[in-house]
Amino acid sequence: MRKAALAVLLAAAVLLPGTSRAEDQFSSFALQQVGKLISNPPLFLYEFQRNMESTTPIPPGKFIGVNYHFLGGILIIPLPDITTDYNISGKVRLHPEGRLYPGLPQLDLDAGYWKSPLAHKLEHPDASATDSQTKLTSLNVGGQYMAAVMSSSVEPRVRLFWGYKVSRLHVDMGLNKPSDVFGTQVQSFSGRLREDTFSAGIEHAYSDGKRWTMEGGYGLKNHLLSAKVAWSGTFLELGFNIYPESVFIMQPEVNFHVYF
Amino acid sequence: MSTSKGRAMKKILSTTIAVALGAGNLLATGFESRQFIPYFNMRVDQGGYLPDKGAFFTGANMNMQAGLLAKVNDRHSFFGLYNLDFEGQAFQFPDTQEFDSKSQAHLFNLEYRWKIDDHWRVRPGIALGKTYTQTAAAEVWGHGLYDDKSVGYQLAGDYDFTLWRKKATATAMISRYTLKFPNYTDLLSQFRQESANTALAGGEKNQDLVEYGLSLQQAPWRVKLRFNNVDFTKEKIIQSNGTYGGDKQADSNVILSAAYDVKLWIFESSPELSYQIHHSNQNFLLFLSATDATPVYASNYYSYKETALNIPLFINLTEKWALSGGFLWRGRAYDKRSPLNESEVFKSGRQRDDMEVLSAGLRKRMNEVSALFLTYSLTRATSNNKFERYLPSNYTGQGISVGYQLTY
Repeated sequence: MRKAALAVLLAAAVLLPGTSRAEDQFSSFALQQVGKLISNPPLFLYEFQRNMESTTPIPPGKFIGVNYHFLGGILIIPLPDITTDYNISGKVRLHPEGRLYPGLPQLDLDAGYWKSPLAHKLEHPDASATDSQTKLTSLNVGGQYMAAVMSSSVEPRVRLFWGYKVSRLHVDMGLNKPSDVFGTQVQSFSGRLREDTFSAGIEHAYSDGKRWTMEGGYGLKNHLLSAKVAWSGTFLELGFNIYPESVFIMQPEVNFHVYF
Repeated sequence: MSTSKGRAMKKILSTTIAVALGAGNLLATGFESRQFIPYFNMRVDQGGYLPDKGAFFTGANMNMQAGLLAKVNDRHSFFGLYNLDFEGQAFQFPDTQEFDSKSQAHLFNLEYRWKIDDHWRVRPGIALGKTYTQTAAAEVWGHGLYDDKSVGYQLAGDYDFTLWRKKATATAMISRYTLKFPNYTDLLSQFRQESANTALAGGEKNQDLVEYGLSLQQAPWRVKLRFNNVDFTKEKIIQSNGTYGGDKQADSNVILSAAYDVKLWIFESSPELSYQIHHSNQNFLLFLSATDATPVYASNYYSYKETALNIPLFINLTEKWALSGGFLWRGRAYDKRSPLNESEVFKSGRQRDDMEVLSAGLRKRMNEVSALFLTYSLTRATSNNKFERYLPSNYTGQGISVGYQLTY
């Protein structure tokens, strides 16, 4: 979406005086964004994980759910991302709404895991420090999350849900020889990120098996804000993840899920 | 600087006023017979901005309100509300903040609602808040100069009656808050090493706030009158000799606003007019450099009167599609502040700032409760203050934003 907005603005800028100055501005803007991206790689990668995490409530009448994050990406067009190959999320309903006590919310427990097999394919374990080129000798990227989600009906087809999620991500990288990164000699990198997210959202089931959801989240440890708007059918979920402070504010997602 | 702490105060009050002066009807829907009624409201938008001065930038805003009404019985209930508000980069009112300024606020309200009879309701409540700010100085969340914590309470009373054969509700409210700014330090004190330890410890902007409010709601009218006093617990008044005097800073605001909801054929609008009188006893010293030994003294620097007019417009083409537009004007006239010229020298006259925003776009209703917005806006800011090394005062800017809103 950001690219689309950018394209529209670029088109609008052509109609205005001072187009060459605008081009300079966009070039400067692009450099700023790249700088943000490089300054904190785990935080940047965590956005992929957040796209993959699924914390929407299990539909009424269902007990268990499985979610696979198929496409995501940082651009407006859904693309395979770093979490695509190996990821799985599971959900289990611990308490259906109103069973123990009238009005007591539904309680779900969610968990998920991903690991990037692509990372290992980029490795050159036999590379030595005497090689002319700098190569990756090890690269391990992955993460997991766990969440508890409560949901209660506002109307027969509308539910409000709250969640608390703990996410962890790791990035371990090794090079065959020190490499200059913005003036610093780097040969290995090990990054860890933990984020605890409080979230709230609303679900509107407008037809059998079909629903709109919108949720907002706040990361307590890193002050990360997030929002998600999604449509889901019986097996498919299409959505946009919105990160107000990210390099790429709107990121699409395509998920497959099934509930029993 | 005055405006940044003013924004923190506005964030705290915005949620409180919405709850307290909302006559207890913040819940848009619900089951009357249910014991627990949730409430949810959310809006996110993302925009690209192209000013005629400065560089292109993007920004986003997000507001989420999640609440729960717990009914003990027909007369007694509790309402809890969490409000998450993020304001990203955007065009700003002249001479106030940089475009890159950002803030996020977390506000909690808990209100007890007691329905005494068919006419009277009483609503005492408590509120907690935490606001993080980032100025253009590349601060990180949690270390902002204007970060604040607030705690306070309110007492509101509603009276339902019939006026000119139509149902009306009058609300009276009083609230009191303590705001702490743990990171705010006084640069003047540090520079001159006056009470340096105190200054470095922060808290120079700590303040106690008392607000009184009256509102009258009778569809399609809404009228509100608010008055608040802000007493600074540490900040002293700067004197003409360049030292702090014995009196502490005290600000006050009187805000009168009126709004009218109108729907005529396919046209829909809710124009709102507001008028604010802001008074501060704080003065100002103009240093031309860090070593300026003879700063220029300006008394009563922050008092002003401000008028704002907001006219949103929707033209409902179909049930789902609507053209949107709007006009926003905000004008501020300082009581005694003189404007600066390009060389940072006071000119004659009084400073005046204006901002107009014209917008046009599309709204598509996704379903009964949510809508998607695409909006183009043209912003024009003017001021007779011509010193713009730090803050933009005179600029024209264009923006395009995409937004999603869900109200329930």
